[in-house]
Amino acid sequence: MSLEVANVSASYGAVRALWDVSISVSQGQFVCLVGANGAGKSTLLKTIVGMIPPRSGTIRFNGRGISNLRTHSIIRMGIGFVPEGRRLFPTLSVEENLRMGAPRAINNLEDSLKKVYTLFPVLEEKRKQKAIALSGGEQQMVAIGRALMGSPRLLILDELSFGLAPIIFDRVLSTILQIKQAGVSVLMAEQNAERALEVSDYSYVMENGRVVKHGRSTDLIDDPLVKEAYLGMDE
Amino acid sequence: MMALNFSVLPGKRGTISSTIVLFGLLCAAVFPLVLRQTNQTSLLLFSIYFVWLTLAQSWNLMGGYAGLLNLGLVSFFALGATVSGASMHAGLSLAPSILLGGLAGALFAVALIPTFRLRSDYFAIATLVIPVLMKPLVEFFIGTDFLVPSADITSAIDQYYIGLVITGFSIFGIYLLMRSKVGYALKAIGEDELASSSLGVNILLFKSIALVVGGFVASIAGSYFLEYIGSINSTIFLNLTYSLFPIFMVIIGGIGTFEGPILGALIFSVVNYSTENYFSGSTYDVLLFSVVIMIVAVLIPRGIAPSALALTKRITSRHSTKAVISQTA
Amino acid sequence: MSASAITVAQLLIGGILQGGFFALASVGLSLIFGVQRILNVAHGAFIVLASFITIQFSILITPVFHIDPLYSAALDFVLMALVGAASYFLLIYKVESTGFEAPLLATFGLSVFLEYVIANGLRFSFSSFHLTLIPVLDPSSGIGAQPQNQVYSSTSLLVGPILLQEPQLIAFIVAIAVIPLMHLFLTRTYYGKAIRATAQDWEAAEFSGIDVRMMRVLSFTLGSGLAGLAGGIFAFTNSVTPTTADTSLLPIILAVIILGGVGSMIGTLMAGLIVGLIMSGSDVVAYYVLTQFHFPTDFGLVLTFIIFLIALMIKPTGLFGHRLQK
Repeated sequence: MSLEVANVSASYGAVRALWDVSISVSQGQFVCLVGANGAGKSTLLKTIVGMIPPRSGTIRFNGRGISNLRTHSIIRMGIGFVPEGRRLFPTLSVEENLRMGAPRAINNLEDSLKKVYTLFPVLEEKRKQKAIALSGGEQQMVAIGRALMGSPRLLILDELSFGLAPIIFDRVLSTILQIKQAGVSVLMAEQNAERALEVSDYSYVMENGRVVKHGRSTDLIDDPLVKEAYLGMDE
Repeated sequence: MMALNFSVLPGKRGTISSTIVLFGLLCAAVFPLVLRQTNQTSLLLFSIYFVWLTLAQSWNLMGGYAGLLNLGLVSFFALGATVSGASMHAGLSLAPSILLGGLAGALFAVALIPTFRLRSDYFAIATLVIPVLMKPLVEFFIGTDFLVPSADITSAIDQYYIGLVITGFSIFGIYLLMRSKVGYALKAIGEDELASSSLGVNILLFKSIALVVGGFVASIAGSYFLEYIGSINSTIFLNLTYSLFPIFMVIIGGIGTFEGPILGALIFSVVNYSTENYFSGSTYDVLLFSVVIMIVAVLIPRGIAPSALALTKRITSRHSTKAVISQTA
Repeated sequence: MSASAITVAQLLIGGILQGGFFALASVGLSLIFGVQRILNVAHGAFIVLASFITIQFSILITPVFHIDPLYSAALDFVLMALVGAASYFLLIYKVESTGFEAPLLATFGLSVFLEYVIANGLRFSFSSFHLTLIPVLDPSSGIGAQPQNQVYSSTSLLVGPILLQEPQLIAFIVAIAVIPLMHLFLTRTYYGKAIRATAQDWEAAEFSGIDVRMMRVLSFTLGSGLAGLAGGIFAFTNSVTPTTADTSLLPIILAVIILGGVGSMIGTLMAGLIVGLIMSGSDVVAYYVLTQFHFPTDFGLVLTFIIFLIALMIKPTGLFGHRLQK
């Protein structure tokens, strides 16, 4: 598994939202995008999966250029996407939501379902309930589970902490680490920079649509500038 | 709506456009004087185009500026025609009858205000159904067949000037309305309804004003249409043409702009006149028209004026970047 | 039963049967509007085109091959599904992201086009050269046509004291068979659920790996096919003219899909039956109560639309829950 984003620029509506952005995720890595609201993290993730067409630059997944493909084909190549705000299908049941994440033709669908239920046992209990009736944390589990149904090699997470209590967010994060242990690479955009830098291997700091700094997360966490701007503790 | 920030408010372009339009109207006013006396019956041709221009103005106010996707413009149009027909039949003379038709439309618009709470696509469907409902009601309360009494039949030249006055008033009435407080409020609502309502803009009030004024204008057009055509019956309520052609004009011209409905109605009229003449005696004009509607909707869904403007902007900006590059080189 | 009680029962049962047809005519548009927010105003024209295909079938095919013209409703389903798919790719696909107006205008152009083709065919003459792409489909020149070589239109069944018109009964039976089937398709199969997912949040559907464009093509094709099926049966119940769609069919269809809750199949069925009942019920009222006021005969239609508007104001999401969309 490898994801290479090279010199990508993109516009959101009439506004230029990404400027010459390059990032990469390699096999087994947990990569984070940190930055303020509106820094372009979400736009970058949407550009990677083809929801926003890049103006220039290349995006390669497993060595293959994907910037001309439509979103669902990119997802089907082995990417799981958890959108900001979870975006479940409200009147579909939990299990139906999960099944929507799997290609129709796969024969190990029941296996994938079992794996998700092992990861989130509470979802099996509530599998017949409508997604809209779940709590925020449970909805986030369904969203992650839906992204896992296609057995992705790369999991992309957009603002997991959105609307979650800190303790629930921690629990979700530990599940993500579990998924990473199983060999799935992770690319996560997160406003909560502190937690993001703690759990990830490598991070990119974004500002106004540009990558302004990147490095090993353990190094960035001690970087005075990062501390001042994103961790809210100036020394 | 996407093109709202185009030219609603006075800017340099708005002023230039309105001057051109004013000049055009003056030319139209002088036009019959240069025609030879014998040719003046041909002025009758223009009446229908005044009707289209006025209807396009009305729809642009409702659909373009106020964002009310009204698919039932014919209900105002036909109501104006039937009410003015009934009042002429009752002995009123032409001008008050036309005005009464307009007032009926404005009153009817007031009755429609509760439908604003519907989501835009449901509002659209409601307005599409309302004319069907009105037909039997008008038949019951007003009548089925409407004829212009011989006393109220006007000469070609009078009819031309009545149409011109109606068109001029509708164009500049709405122009002035859009330059007033109402226009600013409508523009704010069009750009961000939620934000304007939180800023205390009374959305219901300003949308109502747009619907009532638009309804008045469309009904006046209907009253004038009766004068032009001589007689109508209540099945006119079921004629989708008068609801959808004005939308077509506004969209080809550019929705929510000052120039849009005028440009669109002119293009429509020229195409309509030439196809009707070219295919006179056959029905090919209908066929051609349906094809044109489909092509326009698919190829220029944002309208000619905004597309042309965007194109010129792109070309000029390319020129300027080139200039910058050559300077730095 | 007294004579007037029988008349009332007769009218009401006729209304329910008629309502079955309304539901069948509406269910396709409800699906399309529910999934992609496209108001296909050509839906009525699709139904009428299918009616004329059945009429032509009864004239051209039935006498030669001795196939009952009723079966041509299946052919109508297939042909209109193809017309729907072609319309989607040619007219709607490119502009559906620009908003509500452009697809609306495009389908309006399409309905004018289809009305023209039904009445005039698609024939061109250049001096001595004549080209007929599509012949005139309306054999009655706009007066009103019905299928030939069939007995359904004039047959009725006597159940107790109640007389049932056979074509209305057929429309009713097809409606209560097909609409629950559509409901099962949407709630039980992968494609059905993917269509619902697309209707609820198309972006999330793409993020999950669903081919949204394909789901839209599928729903538009299926919805148009259902218009074809309804049209094939409509030909037997009514005398059809090229403009039948605009003047009477489309407004009723719109009332039914809104009352039923856009995208809800079972809701559409219920709403169709209710509209049929309201219309015949108001006919009863008009007949017994309002005749002294000389109220027009289409009082039923007026009452239906007033009820529709009131229902829309009170509960804009339709009378029945379980909608396709959020």
